[in-house]
Amino acid sequence: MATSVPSTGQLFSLDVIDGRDVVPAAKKVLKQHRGQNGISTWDSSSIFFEMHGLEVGEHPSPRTLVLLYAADIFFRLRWQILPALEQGKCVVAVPYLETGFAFGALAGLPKRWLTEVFRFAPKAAVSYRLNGSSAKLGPPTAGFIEFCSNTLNEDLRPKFADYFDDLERRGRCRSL
Amino acid sequence: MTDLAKRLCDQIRKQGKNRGLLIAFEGPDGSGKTTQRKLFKDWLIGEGYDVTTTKWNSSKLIKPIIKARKNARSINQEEFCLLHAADFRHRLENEVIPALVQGKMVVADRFLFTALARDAARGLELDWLLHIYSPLYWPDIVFYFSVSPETSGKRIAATRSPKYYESGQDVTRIDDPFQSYHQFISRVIQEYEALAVIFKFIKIDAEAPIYDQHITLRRLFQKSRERPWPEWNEEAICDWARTAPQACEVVVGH
Repeated sequence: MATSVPSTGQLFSLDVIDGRDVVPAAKKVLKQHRGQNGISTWDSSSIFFEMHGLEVGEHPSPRTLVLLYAADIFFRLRWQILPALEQGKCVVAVPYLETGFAFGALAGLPKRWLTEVFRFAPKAAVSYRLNGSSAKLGPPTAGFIEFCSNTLNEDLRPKFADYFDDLERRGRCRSL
Repeated sequence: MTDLAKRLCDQIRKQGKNRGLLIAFEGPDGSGKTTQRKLFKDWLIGEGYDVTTTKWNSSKLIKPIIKARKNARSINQEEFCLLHAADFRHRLENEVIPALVQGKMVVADRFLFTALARDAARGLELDWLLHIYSPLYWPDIVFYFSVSPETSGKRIAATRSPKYYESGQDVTRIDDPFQSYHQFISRVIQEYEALAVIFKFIKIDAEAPIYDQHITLRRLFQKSRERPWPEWNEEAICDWARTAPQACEVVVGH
């Protein structure tokens, strides 16, 4: 089920707290690895952007949000990440799996379910995280964390930061 | 189990033999299940039941997203599955479970098994699908409308040309939609037949006259009307109580 990573390229993941930090942070990762430009960002499939614009008055639950996040990741893998890796490029997926796992954990979803949902996604060679640089929560379309914070009506950034702190302590990711 | 989850489960149990049932209408395209679902719903209302209907891929929130991608033919098997699972989850949490907790009958025009049959026919692992759709809320009754691939194909062709994903052209890669439909629906029916055995569907001969089928449904429903609430649905209620803010709104006396 898991998609295999072409041996020619390298996949890096970067989970950021603030959506506005995405591009400069991803460029920094690419610079560190002297890689060619290859960045895959959240909502490239436009699922969340379109849903935000619907104004139907119904909010998706955390479980629904995770399924949609997984659909977006699959889209990014198919159209951005895997083709770039096949060309021998370094690709930074920002955000990637850990953001989905983090949100699921914060919402009380079982780890086993999350693991199964994201079973298709290849692991990154190196995982990075970055704390937020802004005091103010961005709009829902700024990033997945902002989208979820707005949907659940709670600024989830401190909880995400705690989650990534814990991951870093366990050696599962590095600070950028 | 949280206090809210316990109260929700108790609320369903207390309804006893009068509780609302979840009745799923399953079968391939062209099996006539929508016709039967409408007849059955009208009959239930006539019998005095409070009835809610839920249809496949119909949530206000996710249906437009799926529709746009189907029109653009831009999704593959996994994305197709994940988006439909999101739509299903949203309807389960916002339409199905709230109605059942309030004691209503829920008639589902396609339910979980549509996803299992179609996605498995698209080559996805059943084990992964069951995880994606978990926690599962199992229907009380599944009416499975059984037809041959030929009948299904003829009935569809009588009114229109099958659409790209409906005919499975995304997986068969056959240019002719009718030819592709035949190949794809044969796989779907094969999956349905396997699921029918595992999950004990009530099989309806969908090639029989419409009124005969309807009378059979009435009889089978009356036979299985008074069944206890299956405790294995507790997990889905607990999950809903924990993560869906609207859960507390349907607790009696809240």
